[in-house]
Amino acid sequence: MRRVRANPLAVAALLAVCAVQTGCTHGKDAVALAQQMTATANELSTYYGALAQCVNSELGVLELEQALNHEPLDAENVAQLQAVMQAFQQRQQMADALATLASMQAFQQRQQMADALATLASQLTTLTGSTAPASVGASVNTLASDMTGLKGLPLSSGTATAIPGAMSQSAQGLMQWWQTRKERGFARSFAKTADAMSSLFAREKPVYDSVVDTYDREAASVAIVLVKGGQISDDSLTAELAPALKPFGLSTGSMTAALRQQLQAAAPELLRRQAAQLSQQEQTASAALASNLTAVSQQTAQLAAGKPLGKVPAPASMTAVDAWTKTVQP
Amino acid sequence: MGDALKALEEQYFLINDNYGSLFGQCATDDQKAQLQKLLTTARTNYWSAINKVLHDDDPEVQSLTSQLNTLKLTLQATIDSGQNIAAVLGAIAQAVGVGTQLAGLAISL
Repeated sequence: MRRVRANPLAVAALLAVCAVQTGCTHGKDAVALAQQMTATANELSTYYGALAQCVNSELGVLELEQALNHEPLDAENVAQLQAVMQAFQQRQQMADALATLASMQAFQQRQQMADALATLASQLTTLTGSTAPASVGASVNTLASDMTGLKGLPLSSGTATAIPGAMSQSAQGLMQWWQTRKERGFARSFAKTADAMSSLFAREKPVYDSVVDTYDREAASVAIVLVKGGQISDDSLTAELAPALKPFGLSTGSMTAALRQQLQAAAPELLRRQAAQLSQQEQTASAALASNLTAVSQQTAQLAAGKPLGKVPAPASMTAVDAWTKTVQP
Repeated sequence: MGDALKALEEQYFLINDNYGSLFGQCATDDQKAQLQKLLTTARTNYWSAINKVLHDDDPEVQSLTSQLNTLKLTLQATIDSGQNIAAVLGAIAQAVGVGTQLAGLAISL
């Protein structure tokens, strides 16, 4: 499926134009909130993409374990991992759709709205089979109908609001807001969606953390087998010495057999510790995302209730998410 | 959900991390086949739980999670004690059986 990410700079520029035209506190709050929601949704999409990548890599590691360690990998396990990967990909598409919806707040022209809805329909095509036409009213109605029947996202229980239905209401509310320009309309449109996304993430966070931890531990286990078997290059092994040599700009020369043996012996503990550090890095990232989703949800509810946000929130910092996802990208 | 999931993850890795050593101790093809089956069952239990949501508030889940954590300690001690492989496989089978019960309590999302 084609992934479309809202350009933060373009969104900010459009939102600034919108703020000038609406020219009131709530309008500015809505602009800031839309900007934050778009940024958070984009990061959420990147995060889910990285989770899907982890599961895909986990499958590769299990295949290696089968080849190297005679550990069986049956068809049921493969199907389970593929189902988990698909679930993460669906959540990624959902985050993409939220980013597109949130960025629509800025649109001043009917054609822009129509283009954005066409993009949204494209993003949701694999989930809904949507064939939404590129006219504003028809698009909203078709998308609303399609999203209500969204398949493949197991979101109907345990979450305060089912996300497909909430997103449908967001799209309809956004259309009304666009037509009337009534203040608070944007926040009202997104209150349920923001709450549902935040609740879903908080509820599933232990699963996300566990899946990444499993991948890191499983990968370390294969790496240890290869190190013990003497299948890792000397250059890779000498990387273990970096903590001692790097501060002084030193590098190793040719490796003696004795040093190689010592480094091979030390490698398992080092690899396990590095795996634990990578898992901890992901947990920091998911905690940051959970915190930002909660903040966006609370701010949306506040604005929807007619209460100004006070200090306009700055776009969320996602350093932790970016740092972890970079370790996962192939 | 977090505690039950963690218990299943730890059970899987206890078997996985000791797999090479245990496999080497298996004296018969039946024992090797039993160990392989226990490994895949533990893995299936874990990924089954990932695919579903567990009721952390369910007293039965809490009880089984507690049992699983206790069994993990027993199992680790059994592996470390160097008992014969038949005893170790029996202990693994008992622990994996509880894991299967726990994963069976998972409900669809």
